[in-house]
Amino acid sequence: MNRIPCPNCGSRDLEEFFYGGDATLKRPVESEVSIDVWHEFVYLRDNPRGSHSELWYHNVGCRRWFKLQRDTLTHRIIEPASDKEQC
Amino acid sequence: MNKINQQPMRLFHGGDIDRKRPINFLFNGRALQGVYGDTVASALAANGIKLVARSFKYHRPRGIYSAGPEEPNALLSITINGRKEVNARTTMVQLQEAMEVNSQNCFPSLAFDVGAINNLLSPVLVAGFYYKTFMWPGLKGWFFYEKIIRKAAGMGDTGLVADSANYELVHHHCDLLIVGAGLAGITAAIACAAKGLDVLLVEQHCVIGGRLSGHSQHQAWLTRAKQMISGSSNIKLLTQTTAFGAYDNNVFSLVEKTQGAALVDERLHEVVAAQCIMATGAIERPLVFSGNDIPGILLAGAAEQYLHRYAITPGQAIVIFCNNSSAYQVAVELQQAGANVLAVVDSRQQVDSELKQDLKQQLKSRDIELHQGAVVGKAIGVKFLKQVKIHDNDGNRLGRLRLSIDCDCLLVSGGWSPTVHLHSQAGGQLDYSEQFAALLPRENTSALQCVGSANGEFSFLATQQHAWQLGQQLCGQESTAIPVQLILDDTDAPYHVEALWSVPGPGKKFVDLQHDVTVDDIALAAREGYQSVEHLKRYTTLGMGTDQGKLSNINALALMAEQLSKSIVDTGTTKFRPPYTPVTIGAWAGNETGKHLTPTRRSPLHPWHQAQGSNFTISGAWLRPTDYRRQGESKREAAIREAAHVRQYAGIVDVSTLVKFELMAPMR
Repeated sequence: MNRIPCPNCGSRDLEEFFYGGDATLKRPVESEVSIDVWHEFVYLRDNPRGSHSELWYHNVGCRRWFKLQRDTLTHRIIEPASDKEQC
Repeated sequence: MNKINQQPMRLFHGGDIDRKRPINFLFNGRALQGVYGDTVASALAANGIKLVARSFKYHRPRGIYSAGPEEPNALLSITINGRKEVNARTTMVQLQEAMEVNSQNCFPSLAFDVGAINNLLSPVLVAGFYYKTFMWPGLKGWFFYEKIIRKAAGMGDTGLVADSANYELVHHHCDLLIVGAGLAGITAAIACAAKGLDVLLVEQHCVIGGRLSGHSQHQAWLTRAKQMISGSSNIKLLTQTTAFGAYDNNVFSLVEKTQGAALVDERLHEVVAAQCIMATGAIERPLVFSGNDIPGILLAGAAEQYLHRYAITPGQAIVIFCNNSSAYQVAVELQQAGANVLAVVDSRQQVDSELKQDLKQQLKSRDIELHQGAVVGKAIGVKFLKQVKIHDNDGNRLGRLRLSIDCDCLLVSGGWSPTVHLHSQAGGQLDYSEQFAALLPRENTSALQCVGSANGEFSFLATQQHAWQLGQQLCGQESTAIPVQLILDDTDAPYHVEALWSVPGPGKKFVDLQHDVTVDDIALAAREGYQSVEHLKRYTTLGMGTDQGKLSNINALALMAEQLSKSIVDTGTTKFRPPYTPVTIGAWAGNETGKHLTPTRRSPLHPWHQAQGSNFTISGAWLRPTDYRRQGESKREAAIREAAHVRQYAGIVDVSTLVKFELMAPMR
């Protein structure tokens, strides 16, 4: 996986990005949930083989956060980021 | 002084060389001469040097085996301009004035090497012997043996001098990368000429043309092709450039040897290509038989290269041993050039019926004997080939002895294996072809396609038609047949091969020449339960040398398949990983070394610190003052004085190197 398609800038080198992890997670309010739920959010992640919805941040570029679908086995971008979606 | 007459194996005419430009060099201290256009290997061959090295494990005498990056034997240390490169593949190094070329892995000399005692110990030193020995007394015993083994192991000695070469990194974005400028690559490039596509054409050798280069009958075509390419502003040609890695998203790494041009010795190219054509050709397979590593034995296709590209004959009395049709042309061309070809030994039973009439005539009229259904059962000789023994091809057992032929050169051809390394690195799969006894690439994506012999297209016309149409397609053009005036030759004979993975019978039959792995080692691995190809590789070290099994992997997996009674497809291949050929570590560092690796960062008060006479230390990338020593003071005295001053009066310390300011503002 050497290139990431940024919705603003197009296909750019992987070096320009920061990986933001699983995009389907919702951050709970720490004071409102049990320690187990908080621990799971901070430390535990699924490791799916295949399609994965994830966040990317173009920090050495336009500094935009975006979501895309990537195949974790082949690194193929299944679904590039939508230009409209806000993260 | 031009000493071309002292190169006994050099022909008077022909070759992509310049006889009027001699190049002086040293080989093991001996002064020799080559010519402009020579590689180190071809220069040695021209001078009649057959023994060039000792093998890794058994220290067996070895000669030049190939004409390309797949070379397993002729790995020598080369010193030029005070810089030494060990394990250099002499078949790929351009000869330069005052080069010092030295054999490795032999003591005290190449001709008399005490390491050859390993050869006598070979029944004990079989594959995997490390795992069963050096275990006494207890764990501590290993540390004793390890010191001795370390001294005996390894190939060249690099010494401790820092690398003085200059390297740089270049990035490319192109519409089309074509790897290989042989017939297929050149044809595809010409199809794209002046069509608006940005094309990068790369070739590992220093001349383009692949197996056509130097052939007098193809000269006119090649000259026109070169003009078309250099005349197209949209095609960039890089020679002496090897594409060694294929990564995700059609990203490729190439390394270019520039030999000091523009003050750079090697240049790393990172290429992002929208499309890629693999025109990487095929590598010839050795034949495996008793004594198949004696100096004087080499690949038939390599002899063809040495003949046409460098105008060299490989020996005084030549025999050819093959299982396919491609070697016949080599026999005829060598004889035509004045070499003495004694016989062609073909393992296939009924050859003459399929040989074209004119080829049969040529063999007969040149007194080249044809032995069909025959194999070389054994090669005789230690430092030099002396004789080959020809036996009947009886399938699983060694047939009866037919005759012995005295010769000093044996050219072998076991068929051709498409060069599928980059295709496989990029995730492409392989299919085994019974017809060609080879692994062919299965089309994986339209962004990376194989063409020519790399794709199993073993004829000039089929190669050109596919390359032309592919080029047109990628330029968004309508597909037409290749124009008649661009066709090289539509008369070449079809390629026919019958698999012969090894010749039965006793003796040392080498499968991996570089690591001295024999047929018996493969059988041993299978017997001991190492039945996956990945285990076979690690247990025997087959395919783990600097040649990465280019000449051994296919024969090995076929032999393993036989051992396990499995098909070749079920046996599979070991995983292909970059780099395709060894790459100097300095090339990856580029010019990001020393002060260019990290920037020197100075605080805004740096001039003031200097004016106060401070000493500096490097902390992270920052220059930070350690003390403001005065005349005659030691560091400790300065520290005491400064601390006392702060306690009594006041001080200022510069910690601007440690601090960041975070600015925040509400969203509007």
